[in-house]
Amino acid sequence: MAPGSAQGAPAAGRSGPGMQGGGPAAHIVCMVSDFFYPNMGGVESHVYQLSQCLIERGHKVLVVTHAYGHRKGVRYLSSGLKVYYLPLKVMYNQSTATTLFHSLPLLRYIFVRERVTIVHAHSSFSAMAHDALFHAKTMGLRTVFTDHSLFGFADVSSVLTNKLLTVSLCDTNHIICVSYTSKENTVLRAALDPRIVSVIPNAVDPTDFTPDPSRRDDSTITIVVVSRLVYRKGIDLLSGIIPELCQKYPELHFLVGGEGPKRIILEEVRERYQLHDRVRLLGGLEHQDVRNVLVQGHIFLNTSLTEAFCMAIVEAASCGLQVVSTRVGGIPEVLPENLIILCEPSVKSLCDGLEKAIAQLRSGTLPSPETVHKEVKTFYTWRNVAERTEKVYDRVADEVVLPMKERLDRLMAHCGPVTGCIFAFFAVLNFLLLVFLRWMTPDSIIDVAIDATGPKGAWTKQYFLGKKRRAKEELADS
Amino acid sequence: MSRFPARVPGSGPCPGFPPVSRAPARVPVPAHVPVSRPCPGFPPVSRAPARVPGSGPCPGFRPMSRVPARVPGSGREVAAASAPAFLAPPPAAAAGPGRGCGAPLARGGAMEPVPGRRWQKVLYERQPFPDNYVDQRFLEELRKNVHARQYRYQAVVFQSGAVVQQLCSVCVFVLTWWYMDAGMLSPQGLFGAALVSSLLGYVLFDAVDGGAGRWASGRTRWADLKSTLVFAAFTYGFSPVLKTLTESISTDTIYAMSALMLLGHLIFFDYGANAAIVSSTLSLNMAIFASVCLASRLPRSLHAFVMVTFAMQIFALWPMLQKKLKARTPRCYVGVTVLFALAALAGLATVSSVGAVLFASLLLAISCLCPYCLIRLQLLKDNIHGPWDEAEIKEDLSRFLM
Repeated sequence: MAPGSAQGAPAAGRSGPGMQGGGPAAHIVCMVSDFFYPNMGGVESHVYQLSQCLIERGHKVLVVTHAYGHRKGVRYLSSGLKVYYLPLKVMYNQSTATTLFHSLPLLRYIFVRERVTIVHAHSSFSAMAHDALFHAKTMGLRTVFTDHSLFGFADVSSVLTNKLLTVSLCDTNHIICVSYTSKENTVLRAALDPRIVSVIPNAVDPTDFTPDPSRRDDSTITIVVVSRLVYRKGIDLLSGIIPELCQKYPELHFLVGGEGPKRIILEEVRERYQLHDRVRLLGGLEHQDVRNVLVQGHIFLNTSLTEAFCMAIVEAASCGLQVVSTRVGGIPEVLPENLIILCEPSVKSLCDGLEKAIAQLRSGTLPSPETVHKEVKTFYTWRNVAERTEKVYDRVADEVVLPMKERLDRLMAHCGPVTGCIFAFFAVLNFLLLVFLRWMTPDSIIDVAIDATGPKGAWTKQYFLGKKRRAKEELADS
Repeated sequence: MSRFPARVPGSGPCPGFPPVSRAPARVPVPAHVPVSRPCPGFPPVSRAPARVPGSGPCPGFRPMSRVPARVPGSGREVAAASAPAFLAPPPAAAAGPGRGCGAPLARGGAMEPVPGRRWQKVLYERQPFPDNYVDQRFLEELRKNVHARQYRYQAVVFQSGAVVQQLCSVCVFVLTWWYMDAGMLSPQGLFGAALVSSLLGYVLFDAVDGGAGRWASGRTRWADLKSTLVFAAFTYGFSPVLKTLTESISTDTIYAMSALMLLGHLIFFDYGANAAIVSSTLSLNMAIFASVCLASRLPRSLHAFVMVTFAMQIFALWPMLQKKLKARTPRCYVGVTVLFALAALAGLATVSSVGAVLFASLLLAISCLCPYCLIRLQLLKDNIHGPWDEAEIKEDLSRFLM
């Protein structure tokens, strides 16, 4: 199939004035995920921060997500990041329903209007992301996918999800994972060539997480836990650790931030052992409050049972806390050994780890929060993430998008005889729908959106300085 | 762990993958390089057995670790000759053609590639390798079939005895009802026989383990006698009610319901498996419900009383004795099972010879054929584990809340 006219002239930007000349052309990237602000979480902040840094690097970025309550239509965020909140029905856990077809008209309009060249989908839980990948491939656009989570292989639900992931990723140009463990997991789940999978970790904003030793009470020892209170975060383990350690160390305090269904067992433990003055449950925290909670503690405890990257421990270490964590998923890759105490996911091992941290704290052998912060802040930055993601885009831009015939062959050869044929059929239907839509509204009559982002975008200070100067510049340009 | 020396990580694009960067477009497409491909689930490669795509890695995939980076036979550096540059170790990658992801991360100048430097599985350090670098240690923590158990045929056949026993119990129960309904068995006779066998079983129950179980539970004989008397008295007192309870319901419905309940009893019965579906309470309740249904179709209320009592004995007491026999005297248990099965078959043969043949083949299939299938299919098990698995909490944490 002929690639759509949507991938017409790539906008100038990276090689524009003020940037280092001679560089490759800028990309027009469309981030698609069901998860975006105002929803809070790791994926949301990843998409936002990455977009901001890519805009800073001269690319045009837009975000497509579904409508959140009254927040629908188009919004502009800082530095002209355009967000489309599409009116699609939310089914479960903030994820939209997927029929593989119903979102094509809307997404095609956006891709054409914005002259998108690369579609970057996020999170394997997001149905919209998979839909967008499917449509983008039909339209002949380059596709990138970022996987943020780990999955098992044992139960029926994982078998089905992994099959769908295989279908979705078998003809995707490039995949990004947040840790090496996540890469191994994704390669196995989707039966991929490991060379089209890059590892680009998440990042935290080190200026948001600065230490403040004056905020903590040095007459006691405070252990901080900040996580959603759900089974996967190992809150059951925490309910065993609290009584065990509180009996041993009378000066020990726990500070628990977060909300969730497992809160009840922490409350039970607090009741049963009469620890109301020593175990404080803060409830749900806003993102900006997390730092203020973290700096009140000496030790950060993470009891997760599975974790692809774990931003929480990086945030805690950036605030200068000693981190004690379970050795699961990608966690051992995240921090160097001198900053983290890794334990097995059992009450005994975690208690041992915490006691080791307490002993170090008492003997004063722990490095000062400032030194820890200085070390951690160099590890993960969004600028670095954007730089590495840009390399992936550069690479993808050089690749060919599979023509329809090869795509069908790939689907049928790669995804099993039954699933492959079903999805190959869907791909054909999707293509016919696209042809129909092109006949209804040809690409040529769809307006081109004004580029708001980037140094040459409409969303610059020049716009506010005065339209006259801007008009002059335009004259000069032409 | 076997080694596949010919399997070189990243020594050629996977079949079906188009040239992914500019590099292979200039270099002749390396189809002639005599290496197999390392991709999991990709179309079958020469030495690995064919495998359903997507079902997991090929058996030969794991050995990717510690494989020499040189193509055997060809004598050429893989990276320089065939692989896209992004796979090559840093120096070769720098020499490789093309820009883009192929060039190592160090292009910015901050990190000079250090020759001979080992890749580490850490994220906090910027390493002089491209982001899509595949190290030889890739997937080295992959484990297969960790929890798979190797069964012995005899052991599985022995364990299948529990299923055979329960099927026979149901069969004997229905047969007894049939005889009573046809007037071939008097309620007094059945009650006497059941009483004698219960007393025998009671003595045996304590004799098998020398009274250790009773000592541990701390239950007195007086308590046993009391509950027996209470149960018998209540059942006897209510048997007229049981008799007339289902009068307004059609007999066909009763049969259908009993059949369903007995099936449910077999499904939820505790055969010793640790599964969510197992519920001995539900199982027993269903069996008793079936017995009440069937008893209500018998001619008199004494019949109904004897039927329900017999159901209690065969569905509640008999499995307890079986369990103890199985644990203490396995040989004896096998003998009892075989005798019980033969008795059930003989009884069934008097009612329907076709039924007896079918039932016999069912029992044989369960005790001989199914274990064989289990052991054969166990060989095909392909379960993968690794650091991405969700950790299991193995301790009992409820003690903290007690």
